[in-house]
Amino acid sequence: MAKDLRHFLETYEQDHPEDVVTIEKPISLKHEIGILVDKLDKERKFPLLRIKNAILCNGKPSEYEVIMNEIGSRGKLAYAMGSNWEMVSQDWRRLALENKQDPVVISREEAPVKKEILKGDDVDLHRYPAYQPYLMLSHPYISLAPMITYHPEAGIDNMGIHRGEIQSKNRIAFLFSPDNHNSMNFWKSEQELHQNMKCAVVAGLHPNVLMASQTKMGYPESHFEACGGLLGEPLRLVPSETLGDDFMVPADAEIVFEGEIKAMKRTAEGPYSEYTRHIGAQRWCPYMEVSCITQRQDPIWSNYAIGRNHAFQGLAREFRVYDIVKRVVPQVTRVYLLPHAGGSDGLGFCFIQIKKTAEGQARTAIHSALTSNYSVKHVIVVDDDVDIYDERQVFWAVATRAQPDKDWIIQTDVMSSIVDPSIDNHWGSKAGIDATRPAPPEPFLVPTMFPEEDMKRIKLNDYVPQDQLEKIPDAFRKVDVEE
Amino acid sequence: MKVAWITCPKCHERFYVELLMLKETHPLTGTKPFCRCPFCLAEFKAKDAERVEE
Repeated sequence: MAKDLRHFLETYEQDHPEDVVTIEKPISLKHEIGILVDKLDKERKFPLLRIKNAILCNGKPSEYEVIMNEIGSRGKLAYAMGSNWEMVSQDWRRLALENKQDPVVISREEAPVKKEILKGDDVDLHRYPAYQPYLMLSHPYISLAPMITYHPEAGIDNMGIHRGEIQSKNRIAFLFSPDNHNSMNFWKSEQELHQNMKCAVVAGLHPNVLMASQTKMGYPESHFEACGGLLGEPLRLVPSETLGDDFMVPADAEIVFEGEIKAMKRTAEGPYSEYTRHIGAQRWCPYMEVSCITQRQDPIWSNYAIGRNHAFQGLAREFRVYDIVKRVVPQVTRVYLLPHAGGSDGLGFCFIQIKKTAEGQARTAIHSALTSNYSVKHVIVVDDDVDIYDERQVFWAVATRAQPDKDWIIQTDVMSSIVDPSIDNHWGSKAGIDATRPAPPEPFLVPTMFPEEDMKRIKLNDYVPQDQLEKIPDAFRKVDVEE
Repeated sequence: MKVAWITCPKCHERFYVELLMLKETHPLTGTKPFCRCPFCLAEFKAKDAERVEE
């Protein structure tokens, strides 16, 4: 059995039933689903949601099951690729880039996604349980379905996730940020070759295929091969129905939308709920006209908890930042993009841990990290006695090991995320904080500490029983304020 | 981000758009300035808006 979304759902539920919530009670995909995810987010919980009776944004019952949060935590991504919480970004890099596998092509008869084929008037995007989670959004959005395009000259595949606004029964508007490879393929098609761009939007994929779609590859370089690396087996492909036999799509997807992005055409897209947790402005965007839909029997649809997701996009950038900074400053030991500071993108803060041996290393790491990716906006470098996965420890280091007039670095007029609400015209500024102690042998105060033997000997549960410990309120949560 | 708040002439709801959509022809495609109300889906030009606040 090929690794597909259903395989992941089945095995994850078997191994982690505590992290799966099945909802039978009807819930609307317009606003109600957003509120549910937001309330879970406030509890700092991102369980896999299996919604059996979703109500479409137009008020009709959904024909299909809806899931959310299958990539909603660092732990689930680690599970999907057989890694662990700390190593998941490094393993992502290793598997996607160093363990690539060529895809295999199977026949249409064997491909699960060819069970139902819809063309012409049977194409109706309003059937699908796309969501509209916040106010001021005009249409339902496709949020977690990678778009496949091919380099117009080299013929190499590319996959990338773009939000898609379903504007009619066969039209989807997409936002392309300028540096992504689907955008570059569209530029070549439209501006150099003066033709429409063939594309397929693929919904319902194994988390590892989603991760492969978010792996920053060279241009042009195959994402299908990265899928095989992350899955640990070749990605199964099948020829499209309307885009030609050389246009391949994943055979084990739940749904494939085939069509073309129209050259020299733009439509008004948005406002949209960006990952920054702000409503982004309406803007001109290209759009796809869908010519064919192929799908499984009773396909499963996934919506992405945009801005509430705990890990996905930031984690994709984490290993890239690590690779670049480590190359420049080998003393760097860990990199962590704080997932909730800038929505899900790591836009807010990048933490770097370093075992400093000479002055200047932390500052060099700051500059390297800030220029490693347009969306890395703030960097904090700490010593190796600070746990960078615990922001309380990181901000303790900022408070006690940095002086703002000497240790803060500002970069101005650099490329930034196009959805950062605080920028003008795609240009912005960035900042770094060197929160490290002086390099040895320069003396510095030591942190409070305990005798090592006593630390091992004293067990918390000997004094505070586990059942009582679990009932003690979290001191950092507001418990006396009603919602 | 430079945006303008628009009041829809049809349903009178407020929303915002990138300034380019209201003021300039799209530099690559020649698309004329317009916007679409996310509440009632009416399409209109800036001069037809009930109110524009930059």
